[in-house]
Amino acid sequence: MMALLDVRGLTVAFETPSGVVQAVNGVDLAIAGGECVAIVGESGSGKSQALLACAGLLAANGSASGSVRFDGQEILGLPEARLERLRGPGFGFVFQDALGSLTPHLRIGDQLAESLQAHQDVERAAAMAEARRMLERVQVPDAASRLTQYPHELSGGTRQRVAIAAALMPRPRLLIADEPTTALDVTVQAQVVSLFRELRQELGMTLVLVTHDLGVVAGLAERVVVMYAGSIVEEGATPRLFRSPAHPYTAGLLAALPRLDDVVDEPMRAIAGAPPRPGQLPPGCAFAPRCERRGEACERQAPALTRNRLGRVACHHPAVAEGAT
Amino acid sequence: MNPVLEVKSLTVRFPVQGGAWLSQRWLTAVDDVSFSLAQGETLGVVGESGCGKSTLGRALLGLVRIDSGSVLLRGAPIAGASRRGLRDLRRQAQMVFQDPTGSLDPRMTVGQSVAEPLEIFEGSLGRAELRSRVAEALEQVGLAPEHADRYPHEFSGGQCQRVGIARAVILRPALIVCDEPVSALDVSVQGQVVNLLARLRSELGLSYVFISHNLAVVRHLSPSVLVMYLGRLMEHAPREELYARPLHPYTRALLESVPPPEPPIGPRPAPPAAGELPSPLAPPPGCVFETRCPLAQPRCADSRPPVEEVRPGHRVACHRWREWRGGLAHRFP
Repeated sequence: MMALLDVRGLTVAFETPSGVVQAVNGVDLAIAGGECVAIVGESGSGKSQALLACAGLLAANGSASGSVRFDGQEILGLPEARLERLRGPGFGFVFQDALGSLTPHLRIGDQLAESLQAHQDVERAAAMAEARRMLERVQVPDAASRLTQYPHELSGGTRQRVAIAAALMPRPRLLIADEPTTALDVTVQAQVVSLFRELRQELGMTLVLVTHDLGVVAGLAERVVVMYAGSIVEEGATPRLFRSPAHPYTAGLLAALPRLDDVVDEPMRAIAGAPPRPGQLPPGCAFAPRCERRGEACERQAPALTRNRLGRVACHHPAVAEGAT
Repeated sequence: MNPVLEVKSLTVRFPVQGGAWLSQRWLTAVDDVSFSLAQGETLGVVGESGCGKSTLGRALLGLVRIDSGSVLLRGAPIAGASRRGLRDLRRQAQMVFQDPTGSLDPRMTVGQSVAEPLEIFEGSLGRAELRSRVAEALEQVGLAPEHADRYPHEFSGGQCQRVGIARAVILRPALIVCDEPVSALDVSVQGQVVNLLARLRSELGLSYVFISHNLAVVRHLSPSVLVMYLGRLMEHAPREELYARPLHPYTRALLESVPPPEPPIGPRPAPPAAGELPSPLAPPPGCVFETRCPLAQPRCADSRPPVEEVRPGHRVACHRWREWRGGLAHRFP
């Protein structure tokens, strides 16, 4: 089956005053229609830039190379006008900062209606009616009266629901959500995760979730892709990856996640050191300086991302996952 | 023994410009909060945005004006202290901030940043003495004395937070208020800073007020935890009781909202708290959690529940705590 999104050898680089900095170093990733995949990584892992590149949304000083096919069509190098036509019904985007992704001086109803009318030949009244239906679908309380409000009049959680509604208006085939719950309070986070789950069931939506929050991943994604320093280091089905991570970075990240059932008298788990800055990667494996399992080969040569029955891993000394052979 | 910190009925309000001309409204950020903290102890303060936890932390250091109530630091009141008195109090109480890079001056070397509090409070120190105190503070937080000559941009977020902590400990204070000290850090690094704070607490006999929205991080460092909502104290209890047998429905909702760290098996429970925080400018007249509480009754909307001491050290502000058998011991043994 052809993947809905097929990324091959994606590299993203930025021109900065101190030279060219490579943020993404050759990512291969295929996402099938209907899947929910989480891209997990910490600051500087390249997870957001990789996805922005897929939708042609890189900052002006950024450039992407490799290949990104959406439904068979090559995206990289497509002129902006053609990209714009593709974006609404093709990709929807939800960002961390809902206030930033909504237009401050436009009423909610107008924004939602416009995001539909930009891509479809729909009458104003019909677009407004659809806007109201969509607000109800994302469980915005009192949807009818929200249509005439401005973004700043809404609470953080409602604003994020409205941003999700705006992204869904043109019925995108793929929804990319970049840290959609990070700016929200924990009780509201739980509500938004639950909303995504329902929307996926109802609409059969393909969802790519970009996040640093493994708790949110565990509740939503079927497959997890872990990135570190611009590269994929591990990929696998969510239950397997959480139960028996193969890459030492994945294992370290899971162990470092503070849990409510941690033993309080023991020190909290952490990975030594800090992630490298993009453009200052060590030779060999980028994780080697922080890795407890590093050997001589790790400092010399970057490990290739290899596939086995349980997914993919890029490590010279992976933990042997159960059932991998 | 006298507590390091004694807070009685602390209330902090901010003026807010109203809609109509000259109308002044007040936002009550901290509303009648009391607690005390013994030397070497840590109080965790948890709550969501807008609950008043950061304002509480600032009020403890005399950084915001107190409307009523009192804050005593080693028995001396912070409000109404003379300039000199306040200066002396500030020396004993320091703060660690959330944004580790933003709270350091990018044009100062790390050594200059760490030395700054000493220069302010102990101006008579000679260069050599200053230099050795800075080196000592850097070593205490796991950095090397050579780091003193570098600039903040050369450091990672976790290292910058270590510098922030060195700045706080160099005066050998009695109390450090930590306001979300790991929230801006990568998950893989958070534990390093939490463990550092734990080590310094035992080495230097420090007391902490540890403010965070992250219940799991608070649990690590705080033998006693205070839960706030819309400026008010909801529950204050020893760690073991608060996490396993919370008495307030809001505490329970907070705990149940934390996503489990592994993929759940079977159907997922519904989100525990509906709706969102009401406007702090117009808080509900009775219990402030009433609008979102699954157990709310008419009386909860009418009258404000008093803070009751249920057991020694366990206080709760809920009309229905006696009927409430909703322990979570099955989840957090």
